[in-house]
Amino acid sequence: MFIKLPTQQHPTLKILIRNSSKTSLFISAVISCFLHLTSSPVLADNADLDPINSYYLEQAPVVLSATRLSQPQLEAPAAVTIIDREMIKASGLKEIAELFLLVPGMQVAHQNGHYPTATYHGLSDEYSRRMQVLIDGSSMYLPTVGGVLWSDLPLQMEDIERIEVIRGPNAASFGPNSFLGVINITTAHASQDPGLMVKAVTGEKGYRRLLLRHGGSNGDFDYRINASYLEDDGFSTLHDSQKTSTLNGRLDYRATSRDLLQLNFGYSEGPREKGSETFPERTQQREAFYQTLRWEHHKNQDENFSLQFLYNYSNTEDRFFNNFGSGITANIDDSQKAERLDLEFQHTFKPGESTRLVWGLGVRRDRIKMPFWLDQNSYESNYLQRIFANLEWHIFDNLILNTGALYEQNSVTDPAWSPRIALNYLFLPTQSARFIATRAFRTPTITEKNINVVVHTNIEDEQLFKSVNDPNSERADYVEIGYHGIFLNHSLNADFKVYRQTFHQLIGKKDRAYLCSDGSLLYSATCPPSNSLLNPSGDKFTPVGNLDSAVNQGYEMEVNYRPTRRTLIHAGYSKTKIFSRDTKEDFSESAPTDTFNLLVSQKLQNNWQISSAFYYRSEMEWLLSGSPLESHRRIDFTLSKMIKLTEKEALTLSFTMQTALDEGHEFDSDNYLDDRGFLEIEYQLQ
Amino acid sequence: MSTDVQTIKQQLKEEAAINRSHSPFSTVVVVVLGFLLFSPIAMAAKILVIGDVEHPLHQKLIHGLSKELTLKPGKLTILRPDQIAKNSLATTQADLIITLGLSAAKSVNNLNSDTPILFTLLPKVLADNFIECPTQLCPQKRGALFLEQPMNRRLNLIHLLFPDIKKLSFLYGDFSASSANELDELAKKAGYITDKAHIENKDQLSRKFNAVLEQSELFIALPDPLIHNRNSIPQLLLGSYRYNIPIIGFSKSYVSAGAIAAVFSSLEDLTKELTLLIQTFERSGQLPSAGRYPSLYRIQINRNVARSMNLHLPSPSLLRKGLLALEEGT
Repeated sequence: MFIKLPTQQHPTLKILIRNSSKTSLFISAVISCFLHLTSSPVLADNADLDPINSYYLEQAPVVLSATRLSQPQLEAPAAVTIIDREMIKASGLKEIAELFLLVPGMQVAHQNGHYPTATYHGLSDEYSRRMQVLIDGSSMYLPTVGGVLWSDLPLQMEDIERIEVIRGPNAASFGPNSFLGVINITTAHASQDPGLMVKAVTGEKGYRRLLLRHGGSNGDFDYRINASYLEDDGFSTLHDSQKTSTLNGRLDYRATSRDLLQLNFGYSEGPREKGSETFPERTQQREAFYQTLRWEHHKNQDENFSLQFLYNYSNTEDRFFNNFGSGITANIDDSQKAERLDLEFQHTFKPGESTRLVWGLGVRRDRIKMPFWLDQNSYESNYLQRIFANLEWHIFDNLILNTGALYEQNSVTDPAWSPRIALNYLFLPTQSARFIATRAFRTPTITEKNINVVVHTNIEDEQLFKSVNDPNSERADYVEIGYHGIFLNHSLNADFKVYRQTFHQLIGKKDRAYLCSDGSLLYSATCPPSNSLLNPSGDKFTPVGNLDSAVNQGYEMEVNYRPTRRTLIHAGYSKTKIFSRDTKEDFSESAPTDTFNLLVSQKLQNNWQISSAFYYRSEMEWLLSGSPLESHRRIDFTLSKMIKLTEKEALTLSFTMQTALDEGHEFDSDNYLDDRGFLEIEYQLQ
Repeated sequence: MSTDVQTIKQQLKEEAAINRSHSPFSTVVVVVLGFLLFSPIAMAAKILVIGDVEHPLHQKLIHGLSKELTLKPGKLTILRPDQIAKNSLATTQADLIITLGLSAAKSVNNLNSDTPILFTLLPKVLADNFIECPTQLCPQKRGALFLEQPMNRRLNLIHLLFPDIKKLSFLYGDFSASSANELDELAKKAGYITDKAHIENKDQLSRKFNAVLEQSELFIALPDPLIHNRNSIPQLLLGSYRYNIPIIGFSKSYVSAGAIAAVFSSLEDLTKELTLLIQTFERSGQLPSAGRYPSLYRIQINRNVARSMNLHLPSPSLLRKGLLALEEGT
């Protein structure tokens, strides 16, 4: 066959054939690109001995490893909502926590302007302690109060590649605190955002955000660095503004074709206003730092090892003088320091043709200092060790068993096993039914375990809260039957589940009571003669302990339809009912009976994009908020236009309007929900 | 023949002349493999293999060849490309010269000997320049075994894997321009809509890759060191995965890295193929004068990626049967 080889269009060839020595290497590389990529690892390693050849000869690194791939929903041993970049962009949302409005069964609210919280199926106060949150596999769960301080996370929404929200407990895979659900955030590989980006956002209520991002590569090294500044006045009725500066980034390094190193780091700091009916208006100084270093070794396509080290640190400086009236005053130190060191090893391999096993070990040290909450000025620690294993067995081509367990021992509670078994039956190649049974534990936070709030006033010591009867882990037993289907040439995904979850030993607070030396709580009488009051002042206080139980049952459905790359429709609905004795905390009211979300987006001609989202939740009451909330509807509208300035440069303008369709409040009665508009301009140079 | 090709050939000729002028007497290192001493069906042909004996791929092929062929002692000689000018006797005494890679091909391009030459370990785009004699005075028969798969085979694989897909995209550089043209023509003939972009430098890769993915259902990797190398592959695979668009690779390792599938010939396949060509030559004296693609090949599928994309793909054995049927049909 004759192939035309015009020299001018083939300078590479021209150079190749002219330059003898260089040519050999170059073309060797091309050839080896074939052969090496087609040959054995031994061969590859030998070829790597030549440093020049190695540029071409090195075996392609394993990129889409099992750990980096999202689990196929047809075979997943859980109901999973995936929020990807397209959805994030289409939603027009400005906070990571708010993205969970797109998840059926999840509730999002702001305790104040800089303290968003998100939970799945209620059972949460301002600290969403029963949800696990991971960023690139590292737990962000706060050892101080539990949950995640979303505003402190040194992570930009623009870093997120996708979020997988596992709707249901999954302690067997993700450890204790994966009690109601798991939020698993995967950031984009550093190589995916090359070039410069500058984004400026302005919005009502003093919202200002500036983001600078630069990404690049140098050989085997990819990096992304972000610097951002955010200020926000918060709710008009609260003293809750914030100014947050953040520096964060990600580095990816291909040490060899089989060894990958990933470093995530971030630092954020800034003042945040705070104040309540009890304590005066003041300004906290907060800072947070986190870093994870991960090494992955890929022995082959089916076997890999990983070692991950995490260090998190957060510090809130909050010392103030309080006047309680009637001449009673106190100096209060509500500062909070927390440190987490975590090391985890994981090994994934295929013991047989139809099986895959993941097992691992982890150790952790949490250390906190909370003078006000623990009534001590020293650190409290929790040491934790864990071992886990999960087996995936394709019993038949269309029947998959997922089973595993995690064993954890720590220094605050009894050791616990969290087992799980799940069966997925693909009755058609694109439709599956699943059955899941699992048990999960939630370890009390160091604060829950040791809480001892005593206000040392100028008159007397006032006991406010105290843990009683040595709180132990909460337990949840969960059963789910689900269905997942893929239709219309993979453009439509539909998921449905019914579930029942039973909670035991829920940690909560009771009415103020007297505590006797035998551990009994008395509300109106004095202790029996053989016991004595333990309260320092003999007054009532609020006991914290394993005081309640609950049952949650309901069903959920979710649909994601993308007929083309330009159209996106996502909808979710959840029906939830919690039954509880509600000893003190109103668990049964803590989740809305109904939640619904709908996101529709369409890319139009000339780089226009229009999208709209609708969110609904029925009545609910966040724990300890004391504010029953009416049902609420909200509609968001986003319009954006991308303008290509040059081949390399683009400008994107977008406008988002968030409209509350009902009068209402968020979290508590002071947090008045209002309409909010945002204008965004983004410049990109690639 | 086009002027450009003539230019290339002229360059080859000039270079060969320069090489000759700078090649005085020097030490000769000849490696003779003679371990098959008493084989009753040993081949009679004397074979000269020109390759880099230190190159692991060449080593492996030579080793495989020596195992596959049954040669009488002293029938297989191996020389490095830089030894050819000093060993004209070896080239004239051999019944067949086999070159491994470009340096070897260049070293014999202007050989003044009638010993037939079989060019191997070269992609078609380069091999064509050698089998079309540059001086037009080549005294010997020439043939080639190409390194890569024929484009039709790759398109057939796509058809078997994704019968509903209609939109294909690919990137190409100067090195892969002719492959891109061929792919474009064949794909359009087969009813596909194609979207392609030319990459001039690595800075364009991310932008143009994202642009072609916009309109694509499947991305095809064409071998080109500017586009598909160790540093760019993560970006390409992660980008395609972000948009849920599979990549068809061109090698086993590309599939291991994250491409959805590939059809390729391993070094073992090429060795066997080469053995068959040598045997045919000994029987008939014929070489594939127009060059030929490997007939031995393998199919690799990345099940993890397929599962994650919720794709149910046929097994490699079924795909192989399908490819054979399609190729026989054509």
